[in-house]
Amino acid sequence: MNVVWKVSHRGVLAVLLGMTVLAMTAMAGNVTHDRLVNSENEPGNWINHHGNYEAHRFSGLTQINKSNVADLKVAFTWALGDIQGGGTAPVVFPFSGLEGTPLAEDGFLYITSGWGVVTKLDVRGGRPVLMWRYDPEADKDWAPSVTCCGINNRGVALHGEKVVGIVIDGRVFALNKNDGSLLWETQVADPGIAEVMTGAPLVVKDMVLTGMAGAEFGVRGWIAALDVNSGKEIWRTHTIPGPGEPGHETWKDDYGAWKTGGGSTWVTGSYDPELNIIVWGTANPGPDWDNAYRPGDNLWTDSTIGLDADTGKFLWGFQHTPNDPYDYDSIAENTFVDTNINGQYVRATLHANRNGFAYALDRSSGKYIWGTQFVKKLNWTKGLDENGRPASYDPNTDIQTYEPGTAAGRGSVTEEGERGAVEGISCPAHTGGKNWPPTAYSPHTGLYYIPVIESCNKAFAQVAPKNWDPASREWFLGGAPYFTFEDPASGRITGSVTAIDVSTGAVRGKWETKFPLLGGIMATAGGLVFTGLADGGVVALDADTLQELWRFETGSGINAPPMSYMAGGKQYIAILVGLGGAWPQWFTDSTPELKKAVPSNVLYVFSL
Amino acid sequence: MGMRVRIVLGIFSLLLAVCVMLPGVAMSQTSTADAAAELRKGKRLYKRCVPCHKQDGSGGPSYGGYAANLRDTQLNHEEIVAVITDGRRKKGMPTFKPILSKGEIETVAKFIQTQFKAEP
Repeated sequence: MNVVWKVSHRGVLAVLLGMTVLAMTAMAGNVTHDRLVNSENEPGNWINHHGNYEAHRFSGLTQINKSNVADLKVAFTWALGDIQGGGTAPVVFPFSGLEGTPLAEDGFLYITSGWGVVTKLDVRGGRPVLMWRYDPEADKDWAPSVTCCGINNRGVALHGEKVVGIVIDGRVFALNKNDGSLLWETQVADPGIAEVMTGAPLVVKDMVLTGMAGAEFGVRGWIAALDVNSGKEIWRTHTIPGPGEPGHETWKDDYGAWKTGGGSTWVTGSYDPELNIIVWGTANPGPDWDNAYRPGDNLWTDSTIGLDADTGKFLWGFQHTPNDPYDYDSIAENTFVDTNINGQYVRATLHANRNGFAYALDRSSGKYIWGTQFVKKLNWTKGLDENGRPASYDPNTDIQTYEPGTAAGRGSVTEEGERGAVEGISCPAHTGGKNWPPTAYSPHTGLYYIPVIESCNKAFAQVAPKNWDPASREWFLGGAPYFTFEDPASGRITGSVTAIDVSTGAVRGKWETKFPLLGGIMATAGGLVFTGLADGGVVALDADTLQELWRFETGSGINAPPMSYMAGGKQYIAILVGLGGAWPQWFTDSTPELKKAVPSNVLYVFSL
Repeated sequence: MGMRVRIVLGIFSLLLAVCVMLPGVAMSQTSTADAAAELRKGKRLYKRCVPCHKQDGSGGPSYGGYAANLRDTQLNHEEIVAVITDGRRKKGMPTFKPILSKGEIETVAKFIQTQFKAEP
């Protein structure tokens, strides 16, 4: 039987409209690869950890701008709690803070506490309504005891209908975005050998990528990719090449220092979908201060590395501080900018290093483009050479001392456990320069904004024991740094927002701060730069001039970067407030006023 | 000395001893409670020292510097108080003068002396 369907034009329109609405509804709740790649198309959302895959931390929203930012007020706050400390020996943290970047999608926020608790808030009505809260019930002793720098968790990732999170004790998990129920959980890092997790995961296609921490305890760093639908591991790439792999020859000892050589990966990497490349930073070599333990350049610690996204295959590397005696991680994020640099179009990746230099590399090859000193105090090298290598690097030695007096060393001492004979005073301190708090890039101004730590420290070396076993779960530092604000050789630690012109690498301006910048930066299309301060201020600067335009005092310390989203047609600025991490634990004597900072753990959200 | 006299003297001595001990018992109970409170307070204040000096006072290298081993310190009470108060400017030991009162510094110094000093 033939049936003839007669449909009016109006009917066709109605069906098409219905299909469109259905498609839009599906899209709204379904974070696809295309949406993550083209996140600039939906500036009201913040669906990538670093804002976009290029790590710009730039919001395209303009409602809050130079002309009206002075009227910015608190819209609401949300207390996260979860402030308790952890750890037993060798490390104890009295409290946990907040280092996360919230994600925002269609008026819902996803935020994390230091212990990995995920909270989903409905903020569509301009006030927060709790949708669900998932507590992964982190072990409060086992993992924090081998965590150098605080009980931290920097955020979640979105994929399809899932929220993907990590726990300090090495688990990665996926939740149903709608009800917060657990879909899968995989133990990826092993705190039993001092591997822990603090960085937000990175979703790429149908994989979730994660790094790990532990370079102060003798780990060998890696990046792992899991199937985002099952949690099953797809690939794992070590940052330190094993025997037979290129670069292994840069570990010249005969007792296997490479096996415990550090190079962890605790800050989220960036992804280029056209080149299908992951760019990630690696941490310091271990032991930190006894570089005689590990003669050679120690590839690929203190490096920016490029990996094939599908296989994890190593493609290229650029090392910033060979045979590092200063603890100058290259852990920080990598920011992709396609632009004309010195008259040539390049696909660049930018990086501000703990060692005090900002770098632009060609991200297809890792080739050096420019390097700029972004701190005021730097004494360990006389600049960079034409290939971006420290000018004071000596190619004729396997144990670098760089500029005399800056690096701690063994000197004539040889006995294991003995204190080295040579102490060093280095600027920047091992804190950096610039630590994990992220930079921002504004395509409107062409400026790269760096949260700077102006610092120096003293350090000594200690002869580290051979054949280190990370299962001992003890510090593997090979020495220690030390500083007090009263000592003129180290002194107070201050900070700045420093702006660099990407097209030339030149420093364009500085906004100086009494305390180091510990929270990170966001730039906006409204011509603004936002940041949080260690003594509690949230500030907005003019993105062109770095003039302060607005400030709000939260009364607590800030250790997290700001982000922006839109809900109900209104733009909001959000930031987590709660000083934690390494600073209150190890460094407050160089910023004595911060000793009195009270931990808080509160989300602040601002609007006009 | 006769048996009766010895018994009387014995009872007298016993009574004397009880009389002497009774206030002692009361005093001892009070001082034990005070000492326990002081110990608890010292333990609470010592939390500020734990990141570097460790829970058992053994110190050693950490990310914040190299802390002295309090278990084999040669310093006396006054010297410990002085170090906590003023720090050791060039050794990385911070001053606690701005954040602890004199009484609190005394308490934590006593805690270090009684709990750690001369412990193996």
